[in-house]
Amino acid sequence: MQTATDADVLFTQGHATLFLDTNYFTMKKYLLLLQFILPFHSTIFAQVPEDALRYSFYPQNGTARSLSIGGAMGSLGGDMNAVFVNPAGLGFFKTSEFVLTPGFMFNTNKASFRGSSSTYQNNNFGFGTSGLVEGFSNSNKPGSSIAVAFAVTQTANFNSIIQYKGLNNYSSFSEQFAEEFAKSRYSIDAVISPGSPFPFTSGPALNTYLIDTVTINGIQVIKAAPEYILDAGKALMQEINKTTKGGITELSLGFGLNKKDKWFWGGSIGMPLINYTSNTIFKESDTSNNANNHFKSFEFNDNFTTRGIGANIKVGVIYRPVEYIRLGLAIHSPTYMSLTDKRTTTIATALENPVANFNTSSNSLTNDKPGEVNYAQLTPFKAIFSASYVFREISDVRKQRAFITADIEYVHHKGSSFRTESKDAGAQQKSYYGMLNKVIGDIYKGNFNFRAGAELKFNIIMARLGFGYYGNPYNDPALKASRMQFSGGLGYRNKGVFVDLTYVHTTTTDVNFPYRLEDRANTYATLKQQKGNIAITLGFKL
Amino acid sequence: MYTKFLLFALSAAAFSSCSSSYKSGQTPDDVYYSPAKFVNENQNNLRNEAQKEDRDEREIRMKIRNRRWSDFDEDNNYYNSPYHYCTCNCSNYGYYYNPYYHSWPVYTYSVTPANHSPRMVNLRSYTGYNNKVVSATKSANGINWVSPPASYNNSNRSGSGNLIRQIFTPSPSGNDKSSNNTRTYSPSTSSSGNNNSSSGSNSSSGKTKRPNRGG
Repeated sequence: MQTATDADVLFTQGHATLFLDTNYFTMKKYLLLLQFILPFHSTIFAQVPEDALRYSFYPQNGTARSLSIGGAMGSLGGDMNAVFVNPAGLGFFKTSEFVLTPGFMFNTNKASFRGSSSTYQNNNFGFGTSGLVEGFSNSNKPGSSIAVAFAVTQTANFNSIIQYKGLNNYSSFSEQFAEEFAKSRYSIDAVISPGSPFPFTSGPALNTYLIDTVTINGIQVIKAAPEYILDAGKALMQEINKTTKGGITELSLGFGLNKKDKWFWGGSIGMPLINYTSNTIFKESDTSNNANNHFKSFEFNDNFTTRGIGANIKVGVIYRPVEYIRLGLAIHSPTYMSLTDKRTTTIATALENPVANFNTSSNSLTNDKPGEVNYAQLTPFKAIFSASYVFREISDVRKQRAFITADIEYVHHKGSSFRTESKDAGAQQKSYYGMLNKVIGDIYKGNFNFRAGAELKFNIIMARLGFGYYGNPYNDPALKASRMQFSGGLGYRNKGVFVDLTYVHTTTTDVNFPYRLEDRANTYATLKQQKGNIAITLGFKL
Repeated sequence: MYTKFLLFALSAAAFSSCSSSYKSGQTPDDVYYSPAKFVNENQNNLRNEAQKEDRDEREIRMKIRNRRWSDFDEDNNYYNSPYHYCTCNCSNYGYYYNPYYHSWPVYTYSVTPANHSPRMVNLRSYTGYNNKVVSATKSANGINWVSPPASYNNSNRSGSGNLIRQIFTPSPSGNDKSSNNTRTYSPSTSSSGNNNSSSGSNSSSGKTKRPNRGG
């Protein structure tokens, strides 16, 4: 995938820089140079490509009404959720209203990993779009109006539990530590001492003898203890339990302008608040009955949090060429997010022949403090094209009949990028982020999402159906990922109050790599999540 | 969670009492049609005047209750603020009433974390995967595989063909066929390397030692 020129710096951490072995003498020269130019605890940087997808591959949230029509709000207007989809839809408001949208989600996650299946359920509360919109009309300009809205919504919900296990006779989770340490060309002393360049991975792995040196045919190599099992033709039982929490809560201030009930323009400024927590426990154990094969089990515990704040802009236009027809276009700018990660890991290893148990936390290598890094991330931009047919745009609500609407959305997933926020960032830091962004561009692609919905109105009662499909963001067709939504709901609107009730059923397929190795074929789990979401919007005309 | 529900219920009750203008007649649906709600300029002026009168009355009452507000004017003069910190040529009246005043200097500083490298990844590992599962059987010695792992095709390295864990099983002739991918332990001299063996660290000079491996 990579060319020789751009792969000179492959991964970097602390003041360690890992180079290709193609030019050993050049590498030694660079290492010597880095030892002098970099402080022992330089400000470091390092993210993984999966972080990019977390903040771009999620379904659209909204009010119960917009959820029940599949989230297709690109050209409809007149709903609070327009501020998060196409702010031009705010231009339809000449009245004022306040809405609240609490919700409840129940998830069932099924995972298939190396021929074994696992299922886990978890439920959690959430909330959709809530806020206030105020419409203003000018008696001197009939048909023209402006509207201002302040709204909040949970654009992404990270609450989930993924569990799977399976037998693997080919590779071990611990080999990534052996790979990392061997390529770094650091000494054992340097890696297991405070200030270690690998305090979360190879450091604890070396300190617990999960990886160690061994001489084979006169060559000293780095070997992971579970490899003794694999070399004997036996299998390892691998088990992962990943619990994630948090979400993205976005505050938005939107503005809509109506020009003669024909052109509607709008814009909004969004401020997403990011809160992500994950706890990953990976276990690996010997499945043989041999008590003298050097390895019994190990457990890797990884606690990771991301907190931050971002900003984005959404602009849009809706055009009514004739009565009943609405055409919409909206552009969502990339969200600039300033993020802070914190991380602590622990490795516990049980060995055989001789029998010994070891346990090391990354805190012992980081002065008893979690690792912390500040960086910036840009999410991909979005473009939404939409059309609606609204039957009977008339003031008498008893004669309003129905609407049908559909959106096509393009999300440029491969456009996600990271950059350091450190002013002291050196060339190798920038090089790492450059490489990371290139990998993101290689493994992800832009995808199209489709949303459609319809409503039938019977005076004060409404019935709705919706559908949504979110396409595969992975560039490799072998990796299957998509999201499909079916939704339905009822609405009641009378005496200045409206209530909308919606159920959305989402089926998500995705892949999950428990670990990745450069010199082995990587194995992955296929995930299938069934999620039910009940949302209710309570609204008041003011 | 109960707090959220309580907040939601209170908000609903509060706003339902506000929506009196639509309690009689039709409730507009802005998706279909939004009726104009014209702003009456005269009503606006009357409302502003009423607000100004209320504000004036509040100021008079404040001045009567507490003389610190006697100099308060509509322009909110900075030097008349009861929270003003006087530095020279003025009385210190009000100084110690400042809730933010400290008689000693207050320093705020951030603690630098010990490590700034939470995560890293080998970016060359993001291609190539093989999920082919071979069947397994249980025997007296544990779980054995019916098909040998040779069925795996490592697509990570183009043109390399099948790699059956060759990096740890060098050829009998001693030729290293995978020089670019061996996990050999060859620390750089610049990284203060000691070729430790599995018996534990043998370093000196204050380095941390690994625990004794036992046995």
